[in-house]
Amino acid sequence: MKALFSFVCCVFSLFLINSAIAENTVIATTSADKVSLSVEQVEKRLQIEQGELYNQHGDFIQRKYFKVLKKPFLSSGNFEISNNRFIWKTSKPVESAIIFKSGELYFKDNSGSKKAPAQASTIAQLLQHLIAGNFTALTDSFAFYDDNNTANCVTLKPKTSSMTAFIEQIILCGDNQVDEFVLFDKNMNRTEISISYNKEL
Amino acid sequence: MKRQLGLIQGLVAMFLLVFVLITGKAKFQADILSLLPQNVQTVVQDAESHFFDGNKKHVFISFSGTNAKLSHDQFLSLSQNKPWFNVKTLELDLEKAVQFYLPYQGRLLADNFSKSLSSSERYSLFASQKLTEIVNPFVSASIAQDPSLSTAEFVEQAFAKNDSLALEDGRLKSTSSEKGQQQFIIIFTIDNEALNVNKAITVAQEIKQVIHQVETQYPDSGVKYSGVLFHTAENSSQAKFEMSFFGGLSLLAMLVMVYFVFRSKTALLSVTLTIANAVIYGFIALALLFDSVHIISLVFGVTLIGISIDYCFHVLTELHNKKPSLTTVNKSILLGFISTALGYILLTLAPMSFLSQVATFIIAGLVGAMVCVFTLVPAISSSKLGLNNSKLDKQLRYLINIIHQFQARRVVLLVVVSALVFVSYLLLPIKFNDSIADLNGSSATLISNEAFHQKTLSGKDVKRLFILGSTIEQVLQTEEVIRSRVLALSSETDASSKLVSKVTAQAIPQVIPKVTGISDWLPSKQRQNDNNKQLMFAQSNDVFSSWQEATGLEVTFKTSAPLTYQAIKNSVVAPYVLPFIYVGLNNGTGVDKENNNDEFVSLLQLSNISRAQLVSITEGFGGRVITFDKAENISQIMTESRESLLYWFMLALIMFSLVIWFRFGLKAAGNHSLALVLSVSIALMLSYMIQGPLNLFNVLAMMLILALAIDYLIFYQYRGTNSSNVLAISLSALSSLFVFGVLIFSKTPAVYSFGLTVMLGIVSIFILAPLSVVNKEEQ
Repeated sequence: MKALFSFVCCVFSLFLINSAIAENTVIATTSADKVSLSVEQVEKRLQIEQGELYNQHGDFIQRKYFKVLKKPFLSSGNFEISNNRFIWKTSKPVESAIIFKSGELYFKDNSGSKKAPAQASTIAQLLQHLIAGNFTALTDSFAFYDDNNTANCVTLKPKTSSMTAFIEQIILCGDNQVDEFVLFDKNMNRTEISISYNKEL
Repeated sequence: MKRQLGLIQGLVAMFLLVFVLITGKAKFQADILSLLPQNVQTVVQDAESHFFDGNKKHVFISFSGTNAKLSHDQFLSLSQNKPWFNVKTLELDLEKAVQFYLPYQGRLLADNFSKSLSSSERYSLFASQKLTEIVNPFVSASIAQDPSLSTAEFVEQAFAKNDSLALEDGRLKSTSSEKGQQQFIIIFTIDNEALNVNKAITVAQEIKQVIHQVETQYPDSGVKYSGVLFHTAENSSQAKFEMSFFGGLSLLAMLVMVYFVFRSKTALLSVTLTIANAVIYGFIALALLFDSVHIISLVFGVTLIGISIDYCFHVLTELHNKKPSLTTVNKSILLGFISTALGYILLTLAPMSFLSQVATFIIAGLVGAMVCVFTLVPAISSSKLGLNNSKLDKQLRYLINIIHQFQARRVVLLVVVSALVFVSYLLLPIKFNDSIADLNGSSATLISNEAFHQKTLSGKDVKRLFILGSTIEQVLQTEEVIRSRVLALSSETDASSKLVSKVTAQAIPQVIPKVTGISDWLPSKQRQNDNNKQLMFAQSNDVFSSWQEATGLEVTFKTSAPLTYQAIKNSVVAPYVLPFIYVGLNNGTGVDKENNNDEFVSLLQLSNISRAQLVSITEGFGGRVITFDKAENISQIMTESRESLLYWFMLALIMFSLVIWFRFGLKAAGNHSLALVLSVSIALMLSYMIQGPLNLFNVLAMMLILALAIDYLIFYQYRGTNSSNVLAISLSALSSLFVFGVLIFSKTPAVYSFGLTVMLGIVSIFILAPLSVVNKEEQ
C-alpha cells in the first residue's frame, strides 16, 4: 500500500520547489450544479474516440498544491502507454519509474526495483485509463459530470469507497486528446498533471 | 421376572431416548478442527482460539481466468439475497487513523523515516519524494499539523503491511496472483448455525450451485472455494454415508449369519434387541454427557454392533445346550465387559476429545447389551430355542478338531510364530507418519483449493510466532527485537539482490522478509522514547532546516505522553490491532485491565523467511517466543500420544496378566500375554505391509484388539473348547470381522487405519487364543 502513493520522485535540488510557481486557478466544484454525462457524451465533449489514444508517449509536468504550502511542488518526466504496458518515469527532481505491464506493477528508484502491491495498481490503472481516454474502463469507479467551468473538461466523481479514500474528484480536460487532469483529494489539496504528446509509438 | 426387568429397562431407555431427542440435547457436529488436540498451555490455547476461531466461519471464493471480474460480479449478484451470504467490509478511514496518531507526533517513527534522519540531504530527499506522489491521503491529512511527515509515514507503513488483498473498484483483488493473472476473491461469513452437520451440507450445496451457474455462464473462468464449511459438509456427508452404509452392511451380514446358524426368528429377535438396546444406551449416554457429538465418533462407534452381539452369541449358544447353565456365561460376559471397558477407557488418554465420545458410546452401549442378554434374551429364547443344524455341527466339530490339533502342537507353533514375528520386525522395522491429514476425509479438490487460497492470502514461507509476556511492554519489546533481526536479514537480501542485479544488468524484484504485528501500530514505550530522542537529536543537528527553508513549513515536535494499548483499544485502528493481541486475565477480577497478573500473547507474522532463518531469528527468548505451526504441532502431539499409548498398552497388558495370574495361574498368564503380544505384533506388521507407515490410529486399534482378545481368552479360559463356546467365539470373530472389515472402505484415513489393524488383530487372536489357553481339562 505504501507503494500505492509512491510515484517516487526525489529531490536533489530544493530550489526547484521555489521556482515552480503556478497560479491556483482550478477550483473544485460541487456535484449539485452538474449534469451527469454518459461515456459517449464524455467522448463527444472531449472529441476522443475510445481506444484511439493507446500507443502514445509524451512528457508530463506535475504540480502539487497543498494548502499549507505557499508554492506548488513541481516534478516532471515522460510516459509510454500501450494496451498492456504503462511506464510513468519521473526525471526531475530525481529519477524514478513506475512500470505496469501484464497486470503487474513495479517500482524503480535509487533503492532498486521491487514488485508493488496491487493497491498501487489502482492508481496506475487510473492514470493509464485517464491518459488513454478509456472512459468505459472508468465507469465502474467513476461517474461523469459536465464541468461548467470549461467546455472541454469533464468532472469524474468516484463511486467506490476504495477510490473515495484517495480522491474527491478529478477534472479532466482535452481536445482530441487528454491534455490535463487535476486530482482533488479529500482535504481538497490537488495535483495538476499537464501532458504533451510526442508522435505515436 | 427377567422378562419384566428387561421390558422395564427397555421402556426407561426408550423414554430417555425420546427425552434427549425432544429436548434437543442430541447435537451433532462435523467440524474437523474440533477433533484436533489442544495445546497444553492454557494461555496459548486461549490465544490460539482468539486469533484463529473467527476464521472457521469464513468462506473463500476466488475467481481467475479471462473472465475473472465478470464471474466475480455474477457470483456476487446471485448470492446477494441468499441467507448465508454476509459480507462485512471494514471501512478504511485513513483520515481518522491519521488524526488518531497525530497527538503522538514525535514518538512514532517508520523505518524509512528513521533512516532518512541521518542527514539533511537524505531527509529532504525523503520528504520531497512524499510530496511528488500523485495522491497520498496520509500526507494530505497530516502535513498541516505535522510538516515533518513522520506521522504520515508511520500510519502509511502500518497500513502497508496488510496488503495481501487490495480493493479495486469494490472488488477484493489478490496481490500475489500469478503473472498476468487477475484474481478476485470474495470472503463472506456464515453463521455458527451453518456449521451444524445438516445445515452445512445444505449451505455448501447452495454455494456450489451458484458456482456452477457462474461457471456455466463463464466457462473460461476458474472458480475455487474453500473454508471450514466445505470440510464440515464433505466430512459429514461422508460420515453419514459410511455410518449408514457400513452399519447397515455389517448388520445385514450378521443377521444373515445368525439366521443361518440358529435358524430361528427368536434368535434374530434376540440379536436385534441386543443391538438396539446397546445403541440406545450408547446414544443416550453421549447426548447426556457431551454438549455435541462428533459424527466421526459415531463412525468409530459402529464397532459397538460387533462387540455387543458377542454377548448375545454366548447366551444363545449356551441356551441351546442340552443342560444350559447361564451362570458361567454371565460371569464370562461380566469379566469380558470389565476388560473391554477398561480397554476403551484407555482410549480417553489419547489427546483427541472424540475418543472419549467413542469410549462413552461403547461402554454405555455394552451396558445396554449386557442388561439385554441377562434379562430379555434368556426370557424370549429359553423355551423355544432349538438348534438343529447338522451341517453347522459338522463344521464346528471340524473346527474344534483343528483347535485340538493346534493345541497339541502349541509349543512348536508358538515358537515358530514368535520367531517369524521377531524376524519380520528385524528385517522390516515399522515406520510411523503422524499427520493431521489422517483425520480429514475431504476431497482432493477442496484440499488443493484450500492450499491455493492460503498461498494467495498469506503468501509464501509464512511463519507465525506467538509472543508471550507478563506486560504489553514486554511483548512489544520482544516483537521489536525480532523485527530488528528480520530487518538485518532484509538488508542482506537487499545487498545480494543489488549484486545480482548489477551482474545481470536486470532489474530483479526483491523478495524481502516481512514482519507484521501489533508493534506496527503500537511501538513499545521504550521505542517511543528512543524515537523521541532520535527526532530531537535530528532537530538539534538541523536535519529539517533545508526542508523548512524550501517549503516555508516549521517542523516542531511536541513532548506528548506515549501512545498506550489503552488508547489503541478504543481507537479507529482497534479493528486492525485487537485481533493480533490476546489478554489473558489470570486473576479473574479485572476486565481487560493491564495489571500485573495478566498475560499477554501477540501474533507476529513473518513472510519470506526460511526455516533456518526462523531458528536464528527466534533464538534466545526462552519460552517467550513460540513458533506456531498448527499442522506440525498436531503431528508432534500425535507422535507423543502414539508413543504414550504404547506405554499404556504395556501397562494394560501387565495388569491383565496379573489378573489372569491371580485367577488362573502363572502359566495361563504367560500364555495369554504371549498370545496378546503376538496378535498385536502381527496386526501391526501386516498393517504396515498393506498401508505403509503407520499412525496413531493403528496404535489405537491395538487397544481395541487387546479389549476384544481379552474377551476371547477369558471365554476360552472359563468355558474351554466346548462346542457352544467355540461357536460363540467364532460367531463373535466373524461379526467383528464384518464390522471392522467394512471400515477399511472408509475414505477417512484414520478410520481406514483403525479398521485394518483391528481386523488383522481379530484374525490373529482368533487363531492364537485357543493355542494359549490352558484347557479346563488340563487344569
